[in-house]
Amino acid sequence: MTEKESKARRTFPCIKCGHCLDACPVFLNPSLLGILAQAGRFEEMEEADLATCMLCGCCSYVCPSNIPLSQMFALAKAGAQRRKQQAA
Amino acid sequence: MTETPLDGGLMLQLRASPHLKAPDSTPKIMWNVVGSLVPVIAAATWYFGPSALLVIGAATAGAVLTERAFGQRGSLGDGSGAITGILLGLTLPPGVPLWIAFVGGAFGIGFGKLVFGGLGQNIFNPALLGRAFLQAAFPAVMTTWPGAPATVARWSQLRGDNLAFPFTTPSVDAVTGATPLGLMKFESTSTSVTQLMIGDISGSVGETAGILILLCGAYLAARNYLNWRIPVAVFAAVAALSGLLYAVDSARFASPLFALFSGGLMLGAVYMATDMVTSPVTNAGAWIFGIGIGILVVVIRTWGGLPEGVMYAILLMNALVPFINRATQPTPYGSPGRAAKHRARGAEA
Repeated sequence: MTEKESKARRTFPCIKCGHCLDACPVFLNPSLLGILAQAGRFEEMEEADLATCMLCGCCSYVCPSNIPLSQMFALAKAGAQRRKQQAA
Repeated sequence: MTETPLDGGLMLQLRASPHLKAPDSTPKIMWNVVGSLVPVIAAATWYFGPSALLVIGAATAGAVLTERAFGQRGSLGDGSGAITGILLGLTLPPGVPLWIAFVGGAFGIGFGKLVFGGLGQNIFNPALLGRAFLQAAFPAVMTTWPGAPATVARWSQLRGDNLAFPFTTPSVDAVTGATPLGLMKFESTSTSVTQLMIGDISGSVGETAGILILLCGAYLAARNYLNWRIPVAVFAAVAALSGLLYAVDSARFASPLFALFSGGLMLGAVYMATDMVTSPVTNAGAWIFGIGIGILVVVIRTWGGLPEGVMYAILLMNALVPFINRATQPTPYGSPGRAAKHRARGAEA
């Protein structure tokens, strides 16, 4: 990667542009999932079909606000896994 | 993300994938919208002289200064405050006193955006909320439409009492001329569609040059900086409903082309309704949102007390956006709903 490509960018609030919904190959709503993740509402993320997400990263790529969507989803998935193991 | 020094002073950045980013960013989108408004502002100055620039400048100053004073630090750089101010200025009559334009910009940003938590959190389009406030607070000033003088003085003469001192009643000594929609509603006279498209008519500062606004919108749509489905749905709904009324009684109702190019419909459909924050995130929702605005515009213009209804139509649909979003959630891959959809499509083929 060039220096320009790897430069850290500022994250802006979600402007609901909907580009992530267009990009998602499994028809999720990454915008809503991202807002839930930032609010720490992980149970609701599971209700919003977080498990269907395969962490392809398309939403993070297109997000103009540079929100680390798939990175947050990876953390939320790990958290869900842990909760499941503790419950079992 | 952390930076880890290795032997030899090499710095490695550790991050989770994806490592590449699309070139678009929120400030880039916002400043592109501002840039696409430059031709519209130029046309406004051509038709309304120095008054246009003064009004747009005052509204922008009100919006930007409020954002600077009460917004989060550095939020001016994303350009959304400037857009609100410019768009508000474009929806004001050219003869409006500058202090009123300034108050409108400050109200739009303060109560339309900052009280909700700044960029991305607001329910209503801030520019239109500012205009709705001005319409309620100064109804006489907001419905006085100075006509364009035909002489050379159009370049030097103000279109009204722009420089009225705050909290005084502006003296109305300018030439006034009704807007095409006002003429249609109260005197049942139509204006030629060519004139409406070019914009050489009485009206708000930036709403008259219909063709130019369409071209600027096409540029934004081509770069995916606005959802083309919203303006297309608005135009289709307005054309269909006003076409139906025109077919029933062509003497009483306006023709569809007149409905499309008169008043603030072009500016509203292309720049206000497509505000990303206050429009639905789903594409299905964008169609519903646009059709709803189109129907409300025709209903308010035809049966309402006001000659123009684009502002209230968009604000009303803004309030419905959370419900539209909820109703049009995408069906995830592998869910029973999508399987049923897939089967239905297979059965058709």
